[in-house]
Amino acid sequence: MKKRVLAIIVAVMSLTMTTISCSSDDTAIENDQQSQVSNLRLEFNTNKITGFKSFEKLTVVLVELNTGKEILADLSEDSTKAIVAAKGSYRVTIDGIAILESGDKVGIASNSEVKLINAEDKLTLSLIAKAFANDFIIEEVFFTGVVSKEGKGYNSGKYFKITNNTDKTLSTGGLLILRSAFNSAIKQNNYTPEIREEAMPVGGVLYIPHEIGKEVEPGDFIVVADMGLDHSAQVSTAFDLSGSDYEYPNMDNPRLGQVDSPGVPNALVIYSEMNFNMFFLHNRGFESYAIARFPEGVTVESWLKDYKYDYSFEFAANGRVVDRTHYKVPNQWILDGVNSSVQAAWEHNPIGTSVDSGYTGVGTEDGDPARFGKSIRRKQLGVMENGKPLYKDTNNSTEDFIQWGTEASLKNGIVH
Amino acid sequence: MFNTISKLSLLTFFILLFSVISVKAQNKKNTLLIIDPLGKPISDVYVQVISGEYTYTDLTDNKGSAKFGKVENIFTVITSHLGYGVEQKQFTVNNKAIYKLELIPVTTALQDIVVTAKEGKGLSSSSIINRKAMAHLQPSSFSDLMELLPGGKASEPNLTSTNRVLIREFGKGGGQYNTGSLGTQFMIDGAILNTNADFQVSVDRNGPTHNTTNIGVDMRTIATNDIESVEIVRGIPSAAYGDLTSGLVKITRKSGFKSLEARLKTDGFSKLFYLSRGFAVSATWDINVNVDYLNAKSDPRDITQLYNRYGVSIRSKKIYSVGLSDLSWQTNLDYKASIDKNVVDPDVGYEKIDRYKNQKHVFYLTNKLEQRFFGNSFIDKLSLQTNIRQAVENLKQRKLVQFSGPTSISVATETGVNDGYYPKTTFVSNFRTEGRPLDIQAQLKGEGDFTTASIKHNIEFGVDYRYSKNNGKGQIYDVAQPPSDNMTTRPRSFNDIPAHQTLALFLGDRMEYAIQKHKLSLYAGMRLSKMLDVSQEYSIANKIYAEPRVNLQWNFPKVIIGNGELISGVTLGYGELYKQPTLGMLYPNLQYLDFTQLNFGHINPDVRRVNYMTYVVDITNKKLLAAKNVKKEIRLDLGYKGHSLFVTYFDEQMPSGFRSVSNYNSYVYKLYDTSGLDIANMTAPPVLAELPYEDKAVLMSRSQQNNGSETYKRGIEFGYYSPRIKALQTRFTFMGAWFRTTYKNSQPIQEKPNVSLAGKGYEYIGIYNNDTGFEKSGMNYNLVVDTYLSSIDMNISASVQGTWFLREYRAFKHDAPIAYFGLDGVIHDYTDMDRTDTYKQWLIRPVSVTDNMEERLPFDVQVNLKVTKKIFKSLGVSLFVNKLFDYYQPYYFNNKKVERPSSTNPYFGMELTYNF
Repeated sequence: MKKRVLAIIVAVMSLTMTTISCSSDDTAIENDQQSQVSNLRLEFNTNKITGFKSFEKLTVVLVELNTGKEILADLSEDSTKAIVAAKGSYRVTIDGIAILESGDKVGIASNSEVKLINAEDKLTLSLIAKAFANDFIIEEVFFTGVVSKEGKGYNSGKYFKITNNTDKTLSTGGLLILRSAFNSAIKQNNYTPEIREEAMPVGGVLYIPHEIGKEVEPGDFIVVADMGLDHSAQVSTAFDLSGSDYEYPNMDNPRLGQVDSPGVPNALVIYSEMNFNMFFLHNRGFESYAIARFPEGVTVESWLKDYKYDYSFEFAANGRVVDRTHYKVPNQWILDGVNSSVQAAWEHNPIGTSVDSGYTGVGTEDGDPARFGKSIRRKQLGVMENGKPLYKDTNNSTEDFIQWGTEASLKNGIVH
Repeated sequence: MFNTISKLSLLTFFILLFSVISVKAQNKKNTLLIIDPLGKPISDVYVQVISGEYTYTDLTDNKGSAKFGKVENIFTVITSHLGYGVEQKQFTVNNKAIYKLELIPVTTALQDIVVTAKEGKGLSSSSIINRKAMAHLQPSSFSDLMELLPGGKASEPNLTSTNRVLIREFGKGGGQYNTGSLGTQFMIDGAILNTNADFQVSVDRNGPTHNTTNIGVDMRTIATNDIESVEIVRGIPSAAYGDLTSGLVKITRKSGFKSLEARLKTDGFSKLFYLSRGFAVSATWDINVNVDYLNAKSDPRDITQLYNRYGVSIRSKKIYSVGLSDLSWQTNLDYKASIDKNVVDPDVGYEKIDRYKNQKHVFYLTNKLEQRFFGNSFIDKLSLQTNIRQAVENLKQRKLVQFSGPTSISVATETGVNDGYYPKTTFVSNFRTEGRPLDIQAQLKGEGDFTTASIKHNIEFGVDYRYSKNNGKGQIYDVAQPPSDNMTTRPRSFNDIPAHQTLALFLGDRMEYAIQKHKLSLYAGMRLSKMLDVSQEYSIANKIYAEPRVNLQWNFPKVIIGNGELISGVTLGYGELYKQPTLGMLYPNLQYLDFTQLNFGHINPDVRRVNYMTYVVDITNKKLLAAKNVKKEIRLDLGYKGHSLFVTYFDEQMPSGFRSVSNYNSYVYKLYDTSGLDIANMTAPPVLAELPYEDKAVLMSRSQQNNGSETYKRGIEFGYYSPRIKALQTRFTFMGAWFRTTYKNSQPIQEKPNVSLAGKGYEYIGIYNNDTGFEKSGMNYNLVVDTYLSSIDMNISASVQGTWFLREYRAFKHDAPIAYFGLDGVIHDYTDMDRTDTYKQWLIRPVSVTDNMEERLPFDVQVNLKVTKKIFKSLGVSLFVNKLFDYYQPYYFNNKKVERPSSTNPYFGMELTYNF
């Protein structure tokens, strides 16, 4: 850190010196200096920053590859300003924040090498958007299902798309997928105790045991589907989810007769407010979803023992108090969460503001017939260094997600 | 042992019955029979017979007969009765020694126009509704008449769903407390409407339902147009009536000459059309014919639910005079159809394919032979009534089935391991429920009278045999293309189910004793009933149910107060009543549980395999018994100068009502693990023997019928009827009732919390003392002010009715179970330690602070208006507006003000009646 401050001071001083020397009439000195330095002008390719408008912050670090000497330049005010550096071979690193046309801000970065041999040199840098999070995020939840060409609802083929929005490889082992206990379209009075700012009341939890955990590269995603198979073979409008990473078919309810796909490992329903381990997604999306991990020392068993959530609420219409029991997951354990509803029916957010301060949803009216085949999906900010998409994550789903719903991304099958 | 006792008691009963019949020997006299224009006997007519030197006086008895001795060839009869005035007629002696005299009421019609139900003054508390009241009420179906009972209120007709009857209760608790309506017997012209063989339930659990199975009579199917009068016995009916617990509805239809009559009614929900005619073929032979049609919708703007009702009836009544007796032969031929049609909501179903049609065509043939003996024979009346009812019930459905996801099904019909298969995801399923219930009733009944020690006895005795069998093909569907993926049954023919047969013997004696000016009437009766031809495995097989019924009425001497007489009387009653279980309860369909052992949905269809462990579970409860209701009541009747008042307190305890309860058992199966297979290179389906597996056990419930529903009804019914005040030509009727009804379970229940933990189903079952129970108490009132303007033949009535107060208390519910069991079925006590156990903590049920808190609803009121007017001599117009005004007072519950906005709009209709 100290080094960096020093480098900035040096850089600023050198720029000032350059300016002074430029304005000087002493040509001898000028010639001498000009023979040794180069004016580097940077050009930025912002194709990969969707909706780029301007820079809020732009710092450049040049490191001379032979000497290790660093030059720092701040181009926040003017990105076209030249950087004066001694001739040589440099690694150029860009760090900054871009302002998008939507008003959103995104971290940007770039890396390149340049040989400064001329008095005036140019370098074009391709900027990429930079990740914020340090674990998985929910990229998309497809909960609406599809309508067959006969007009009947097809309630399977729903999925969670969970993405590594970081720059490091992550493991899915131990990942929890949480379904909220509360319904965003039904609000009662006096939830007692009200815990949403500390923990999320859950009605169903899926768990990916460590034994079937897998590594996910930065920018890559996993699909957790109810049944990881080709649903389009059942109903032509449904999706081919045969490349799913995990599935949770229900084999316990003797009435359901769901199908287990060989080769797709099964996530475990460690808690459900329903019998027979049933875990279904509300097809109007009046539920919120989150992903979490147990902290060290907490196991499935100990969580089931210690995190029961006994609460009561009061019916707004008649004052009748109802006692309920669910489980809770502390917000600190939550990696990412998204509240879902539709504007016309929204009453409250099942997840607290520290996880998600807004909400998203599919459709604008309750029971919107146009909702089928659509999902809630995060906005893409740009692409990562490896070319994978980078998603917006500001813990406000109203901002982070495409409003109100978009075509499901796996409509044409799973393509990584 | 018990068997011997019951046989003995049957024998005794028969001996008693026949010995009573043989007691008859008295000197013959002449008989004068006095009837009203409807042919009903008139009692208490003072009769004077004058013939030369002979003069006789007598009072007619309740059969309208007066007796006199020897007379000359021509004699004069002078009768006098308050309601019929003084009449004089000459007769010529005939060899039958029976003379009939018809009296016409002389009181101005004014007092007789009653637009409300009249409270019967008999031994059993009952409401009597006559044609005039029905015409003024303008009903669409029998359901609307329930408004006229004490505690009744007008309600919007709902003709597109089942209308069950509720007597002396507010109703609550849904399907678990249907014994009250199932145990209410409906009779039309003496023929019972037997619902014991009603199996008409849709194959599709998720579709629309218009079920009546185990609910009783659906009142919307009974048209009121052809009804002359109805008697709704709320109290204790005589021993002649059985297989009922809660009430008896006796419908008498029009009979005798009637000019052509037409009725046309329309309101927001329905259109009704009716045409009838009574022909007098000869002086002793009448034929009545009518047709009836109703078309109803659930909502005027909604055409998705339609209901049609058709009725055709031909009734003949002929009286033959045979020697000293009259033999009347009444035969009725009826056809009724009740058709529910649902056009599927395009939002949910697939409108081009989905169909629902519930048709019930019913043919009735009833015959009643009634021999009346005049003169002094001991037996006054012998009747044989036979009713045959054949229904053709077809519930036809077609549905586009589209499974939500690839689905496998088992088609096994026996317990064991079996391979299932993967049906197509989309197909059209045709399924139907075909019921052919045949009900036969034969009742032989005798009535007679004799006098012992100044006590007049009037006895009734008889045999009642009832047979119900459903010969339908039952639930029919292709198991490979079921209407839903969650079938727990397989097709079953109703024809395989044995018949429901009951035999009952009854004997009752109505005794009258007058001591000075007190009049005492006592009815004591006993009904013995038994189900026949039930397998010995059933507890009910050898049970003989004895149903004692006692009613005592004490009419006090009249007391002169001012210029009027105060008439008063007290009536007490006690009765035990039983409703036998229906066929559906005794012979439930087998339940199928198909546990998936392997569901290997490989991409290659040739290597797929699905394997099941199927359990066929017989849910028959062989210990099921009849539901018993014990009725007690006391009634006070007062009358003064045309004012009359009654107050009845009743107490009805039915601890053994029918209930469907969940019983849990554990089932074991194997879960095969295919993770070790080389999925990519498979050429044949997996072989079970080569796969590793895990033993699974799961607790599953099957619902079973038992006698665990308790309904405890208490209440006070009251009614005040003013005379028609001359100046205003107005009558005030104030009726109402306070009911207090408890609905709860009478046997511990098993419950499993709705939860799955740690990847497994929940593995404990709690045994709890109480299910959700209710106690409702409150008072309904109904004030009717009706004015009859005789000069323009118009009747206007306004009714102000509502609930004065209503309290609802949920029967106390404890959160913890008394015991629990796991997969091994061993029952353990539930201890405090269990409250913190990861899994057993879930056995604590959520019971909130308000669950055991009383809800007090205050006053509400609605005003209804009805007008009936004769426009021309033959044309009448009626119209009604219900809920012309209504108000529901807000109330506080749990310190919260609860507003109750008016729930519905006014409901109105009008009708035209022609009397050609």
